[in-house]
Amino acid sequence: MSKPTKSTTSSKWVSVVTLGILACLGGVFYTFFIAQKEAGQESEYRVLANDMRLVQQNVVVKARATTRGDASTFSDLELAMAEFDALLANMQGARIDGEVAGIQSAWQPVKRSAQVLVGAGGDVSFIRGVSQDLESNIRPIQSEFAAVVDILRDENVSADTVAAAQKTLWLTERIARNIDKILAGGDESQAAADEFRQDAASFNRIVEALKSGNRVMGVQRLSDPDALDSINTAAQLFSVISRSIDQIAGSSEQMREVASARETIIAASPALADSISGIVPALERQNNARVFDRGTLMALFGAPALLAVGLLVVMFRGQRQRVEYTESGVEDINSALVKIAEGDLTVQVPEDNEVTRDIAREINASTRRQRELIQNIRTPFEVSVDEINKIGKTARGQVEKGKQLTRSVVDSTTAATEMVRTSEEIKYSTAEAAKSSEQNRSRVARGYELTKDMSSASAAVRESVQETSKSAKRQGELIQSVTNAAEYIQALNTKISVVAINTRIEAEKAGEYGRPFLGIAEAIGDLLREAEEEGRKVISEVRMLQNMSAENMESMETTVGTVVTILEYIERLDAALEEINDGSSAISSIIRSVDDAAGQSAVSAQHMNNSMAEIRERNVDIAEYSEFTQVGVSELQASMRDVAENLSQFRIEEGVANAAFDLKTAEEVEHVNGARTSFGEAQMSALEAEEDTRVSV
Amino acid sequence: MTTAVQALQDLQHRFAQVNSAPPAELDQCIYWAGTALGLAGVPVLVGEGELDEIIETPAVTPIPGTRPWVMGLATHRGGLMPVISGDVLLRQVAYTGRVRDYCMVIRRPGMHFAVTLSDVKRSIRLPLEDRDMNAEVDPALNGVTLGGFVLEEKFHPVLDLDKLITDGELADAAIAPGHSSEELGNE
Repeated sequence: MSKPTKSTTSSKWVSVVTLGILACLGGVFYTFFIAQKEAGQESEYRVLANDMRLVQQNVVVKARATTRGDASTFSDLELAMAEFDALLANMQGARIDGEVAGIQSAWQPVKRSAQVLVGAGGDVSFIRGVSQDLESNIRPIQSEFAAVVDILRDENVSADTVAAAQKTLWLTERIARNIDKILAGGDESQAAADEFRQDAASFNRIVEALKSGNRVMGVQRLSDPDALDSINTAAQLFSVISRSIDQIAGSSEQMREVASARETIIAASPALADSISGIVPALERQNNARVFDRGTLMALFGAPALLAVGLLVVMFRGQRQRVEYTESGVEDINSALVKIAEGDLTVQVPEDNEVTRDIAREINASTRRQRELIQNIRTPFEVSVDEINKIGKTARGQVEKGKQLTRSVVDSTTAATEMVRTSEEIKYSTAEAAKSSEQNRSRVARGYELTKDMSSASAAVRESVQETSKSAKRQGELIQSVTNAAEYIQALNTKISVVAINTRIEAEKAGEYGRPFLGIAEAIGDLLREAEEEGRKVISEVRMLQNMSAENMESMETTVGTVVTILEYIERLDAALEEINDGSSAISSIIRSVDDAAGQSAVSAQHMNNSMAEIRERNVDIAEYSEFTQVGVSELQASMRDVAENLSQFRIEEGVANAAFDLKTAEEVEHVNGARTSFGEAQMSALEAEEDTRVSV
Repeated sequence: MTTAVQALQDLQHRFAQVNSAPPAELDQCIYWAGTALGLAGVPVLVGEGELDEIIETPAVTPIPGTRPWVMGLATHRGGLMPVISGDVLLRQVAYTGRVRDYCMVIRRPGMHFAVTLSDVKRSIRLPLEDRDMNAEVDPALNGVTLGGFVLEEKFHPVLDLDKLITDGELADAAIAPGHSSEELGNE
């Protein structure tokens, strides 16, 4: 029984130890993996260092190549700068900050100089292009002027003219040389620029003098067409320089800066190369320090040792908990056995303890079998008790039914007697109701005549009020007409007032001659003032009259409405009286029907009373038979109770003292025994006397 | 003695014949004369000689580009005359009330126009000493009155037409640049 438990425990511990070893191996492998990964990163940084060295060399090469003035060289230089910056940014994660800072400080002057070169790229390319064009055009220009000199020697011209033509030959040479000096950007570049400006101006001035003549210079105007063609051709070839004299001369300072930047790059290049070369040794030093540091050694050797100590501690604690677990299971079994010995078969031993689980199962099976045996005895006994209970209930039901039947018979007898008496009373009441109904009908006829008189009187009133209303409306119209006339008079007064004012104004304008009109105007004004006051009074009073007329009109309309409402009420009253008359006739016929029904009901009640007497006699016989049945059931119930007391010593259900026997059933049987089973003649008479006091149906 | 007495009696007799009745006492009171009118719902007085005449409000033709208080041009005595709404001029808001039936025609050097009246009362003469120069007037007439009189328990300010013409908006009837004549309604 203990073998499976042991094997389970050992397999558990094997699993724990295996997991521990796997964890140690995992730590070691992880350490090797990290080391390998870092070695990979180191190789990446080595590649980056090599790339930086190549890019740095490329920057130097491109800076040197800018002297040729190719536009692609400047764009390549710009790309190389961006590439070096990107490589330097990638190197930031290598944790060799000192070396990277050194490269950064060595790179900055190179970068600034390279930016100067890139910024001046356009001008350098342009001047270089002009220089190349001039170099290619020098020979044709010189040959053209040589031809001019030959022509001039043959013609009768001044010596200055020939000298001027010859001067152009070496001017072109010096212009080309000075352009090269400007491009080189050396110390002589500024002097070369000044000289270039003067030479170019002299060249153009000589050409112009030869074409147009210049007395100051002593140059005569050429007339030979061939000479003029040659000069024009030479001027055309020299136009490359003529168009950009200022630009070339003005760029000498920039060319000096370009040359300086180029030299700076070349000078700073060795220091930058040394800084880049220091990256690889720094990476190697860093790698060695990482491999032999304390954390790696701890991961390789210390962690397995700590794991082994932890496993030992866990094993010791597990063994101790197992002993305590076994003792707990044995204690549960002992307490269950004590309860079984006391007769309690419902006890259950816990089966969750692995050590004592088999013993607990055997004990629980044994108590379950004992409960089943007792249950087998109880089942037929319960069937018998149920049947006896049913018989007892049936007998009790018979007694109850007999009692109810007796009461019903008594109630029915009383009701029948009451019906006879009530029928007589109904007949008397219907006779009285018939008399009252006749009187009501005569009163309704009288009220009907009265409503007709009221209706005709109300119609006369309505017609009279309507006539008065028409007259009042006519009055209102007349008042309105008077109001309009008064307002018109007021408007006329205003107009007269205007005439009076204008008369006064005109009289004033007329001076002495208008004085009589002034008096007339004032007199008219005085009269008008009085007329306006009276007019205002008239209008005010007429408006009051108008308001009163309107109020009278409203009052008469209200009166007409009230009379109409009264007429409607009279019509409704008339209809109601008609309905009352019809209702009285219907009530009279109903009263007659009720009188006939009451007579028939009295006869039927007498028959019912006789039937009830016979039913009461039969019920007395049934009560005697029920008494015999109840005595037998009581004796059988007593026997059953004795058997139940004997079996109740076993407890087989949780929380029930003796669930096998329903003692309440026996008590109920006794209760049936105590009930009254029949009614004697005297009791029945008493019941009848008691029921007489009830209210009749 | 007798001669002297006789001579005195003759002198008295001749004096009685020549002497006329003593002149009646002249009314020393100085009167203010003018016309009582209503302008923009306010009762006002206009002095004698300041009005040219009072006419019924004529039919007007609107003039574009003028201030809202210019109702338009009307024909008057064979000529053209601008008609101005007194309500809009003084209240500075659009007027939508009762139609103004009368106008007062004002003629000044270089100006001849009519202003609508809200009421026409009568010519009036009032003692000058009753003139109150300190009473408060309606805000619409603020600055264009010269005192006033109490008439029928109501204060009637005296309208200073010269000030109204020179200092008020009447000096410029053209609409201000950037403003629309729709702002104050179309009279």
